[in-house]
Amino acid sequence: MSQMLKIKDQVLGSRLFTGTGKFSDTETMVKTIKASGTALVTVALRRFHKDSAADDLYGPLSELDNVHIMPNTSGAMNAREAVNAAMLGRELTESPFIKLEIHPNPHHLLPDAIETYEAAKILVAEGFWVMPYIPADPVLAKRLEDIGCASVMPLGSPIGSGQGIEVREMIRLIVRDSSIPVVVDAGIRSPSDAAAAMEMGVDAVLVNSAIAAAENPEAMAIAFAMGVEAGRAAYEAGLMSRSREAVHTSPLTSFLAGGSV
Amino acid sequence: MSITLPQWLDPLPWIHYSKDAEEGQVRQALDAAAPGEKELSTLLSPAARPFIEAMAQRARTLTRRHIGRTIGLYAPLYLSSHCPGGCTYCGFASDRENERHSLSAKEAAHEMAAMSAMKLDEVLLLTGERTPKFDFHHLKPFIEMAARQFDLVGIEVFPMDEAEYRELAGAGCTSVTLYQETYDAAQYDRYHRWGPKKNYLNRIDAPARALSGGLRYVGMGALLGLSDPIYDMLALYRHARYLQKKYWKAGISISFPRIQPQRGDFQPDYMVDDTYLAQIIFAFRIVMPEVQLVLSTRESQAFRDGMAGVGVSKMSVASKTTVGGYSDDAGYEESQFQISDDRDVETFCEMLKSKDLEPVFKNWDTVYRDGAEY
Amino acid sequence: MQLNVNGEIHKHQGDGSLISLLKEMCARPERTAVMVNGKVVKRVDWDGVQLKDLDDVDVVMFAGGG
Repeated sequence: MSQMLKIKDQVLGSRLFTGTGKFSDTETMVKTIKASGTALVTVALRRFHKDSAADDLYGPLSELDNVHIMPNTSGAMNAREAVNAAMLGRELTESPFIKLEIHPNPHHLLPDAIETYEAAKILVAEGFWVMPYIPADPVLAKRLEDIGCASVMPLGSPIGSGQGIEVREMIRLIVRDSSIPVVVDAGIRSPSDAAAAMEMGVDAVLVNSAIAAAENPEAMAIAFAMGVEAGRAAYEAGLMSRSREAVHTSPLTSFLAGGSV
Repeated sequence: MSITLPQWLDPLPWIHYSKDAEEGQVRQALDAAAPGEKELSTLLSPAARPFIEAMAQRARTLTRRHIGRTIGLYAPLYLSSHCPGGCTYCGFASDRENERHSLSAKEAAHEMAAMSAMKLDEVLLLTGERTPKFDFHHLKPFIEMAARQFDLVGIEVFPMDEAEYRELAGAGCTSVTLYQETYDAAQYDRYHRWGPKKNYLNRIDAPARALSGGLRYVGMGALLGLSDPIYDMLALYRHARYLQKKYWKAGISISFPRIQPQRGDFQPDYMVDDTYLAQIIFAFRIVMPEVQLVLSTRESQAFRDGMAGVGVSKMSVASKTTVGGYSDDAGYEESQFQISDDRDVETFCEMLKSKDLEPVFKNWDTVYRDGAEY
Repeated sequence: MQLNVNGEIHKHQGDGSLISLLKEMCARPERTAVMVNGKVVKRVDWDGVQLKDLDDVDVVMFAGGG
């Protein structure tokens, strides 16, 4: 059993976070979330409309045991909108978790680091546990840690792209220097992508599309849970290193031959 | 007196990797993708000694990749030999019957002019522990004087509080070097017989206070020979990593001073021979590829030449360890420790160039800092 | 009373309280969150809110997202 993940004061029983988007129907979504074993699920907000009342996720989500609901700020184009979205979300979840995401470009959906930073400052002051979705930038990650974010969520590659971890070196640096949990969010396509991220020492991964858009989401959720657990266990066990044969052309230590001075 | 090391500093959980290490673990540690405490402990083990050439090769590759074929140069300037401390290993300890002296402003100006004439652009100002004969208000004017002619002004002096560090940063101080000497609290207590330096935790926390106070660089180290080097080097590594995480803008440099038994009357309990010192430095380069690793003129010519660029990336040169030593051949009195490599700057740079290494006198400039506010 | 609800004109038939608007709109108001004139109104404060003609009211609910 791997070490428990803790975000702020909350211990989470799983290192796989899931989303609620792109499912064919609510029943599949609920079955899939249960199968994943997740303890943290993100949800978006939309304007109420009579016709959509039947699809309301509030009931099904509030019936899940041991699952924390984390609203996101998707749709917000700037810091002000994201803060409003977060305030609305907290009214629904009565939980401090907020996934802060601001992606003004509708095509690649890449996060706006500057607006995200501004919104994070305000939300931290308002008592939120801010989980910002960010470009994999080690300096930005530290700046967000400095102002009190609960975690950072760097992207592996663009949302929904399924390209896996395209920014390994940046993620490695973020993990190495971060004192708050690091969650890889976006870009993960397969359980092996998730395992690869976890093997690097990432604290958790957030997977939505890769599960919801699978042929069999419920079965894929189980596969991801195993991938995440395997990756974490491997990280904690300590990976064997790759062999790196040194080329001993001209010995660098001949000056030591005489032993001590 | 017993002190509990804070959890972030305590090296004990990793010591056993060094004791248990065998060839296989050493090979793994050498090739690890993200080396940490375990790998450092393994690379410091006796089992790693036969791998010294492989460690050197790896260290040189990493030094070139992260720092380049360059060696940063600096020299120390002793401001004062007054010291209330009772450090058993130090030539300036208060029970040594040496003549003491603190530089006057005029003398310091001569010293700095002599150093500038040697092309040096980084100076490290040194004093003993805090004493009424040499306190904060004595130190600050020397920093202001040095900042007018050197781009990098470091201090290796007594620990201060955050407000004092902030004031010195404003005066032009760029770095604080403070060796813990030994991280073993019981040994520390034994070696530091009296004086303000007896406070172990105050010294541990000083680099963090310096960084909080706005200093950009901290220099760290432990005096090899005082305690078990594996314990000390693991704690040093943990201390440095803690600071890197907490103060992520900080630049860290690590020095490897050691007591050489044949010089002076203090006999160290732990022997660190040349090969082991080299092993320690290579191990640090492998686990901290991007920090400055420093070797002083305490070490011999042959050792310094061999280590330059192979792990070590910064070196003192043409050092005088007596108060007044640059402008007056005799200096005022006893040195704090004896230097071993007394080559002048030009000769030393020739050696570096012969190894395809570029001497670097200046790698930072105050031009932006001194610019206007918009 | 005419209100601007979720960006559309809404003829309100009730007493003009926020609660009556929410009850008019949806079966389970407790599953929504509300902004009036751009300000989030906390659930505990709903009772006291009286709307005025042409007020902007936004009512949101959960939706699927990642």
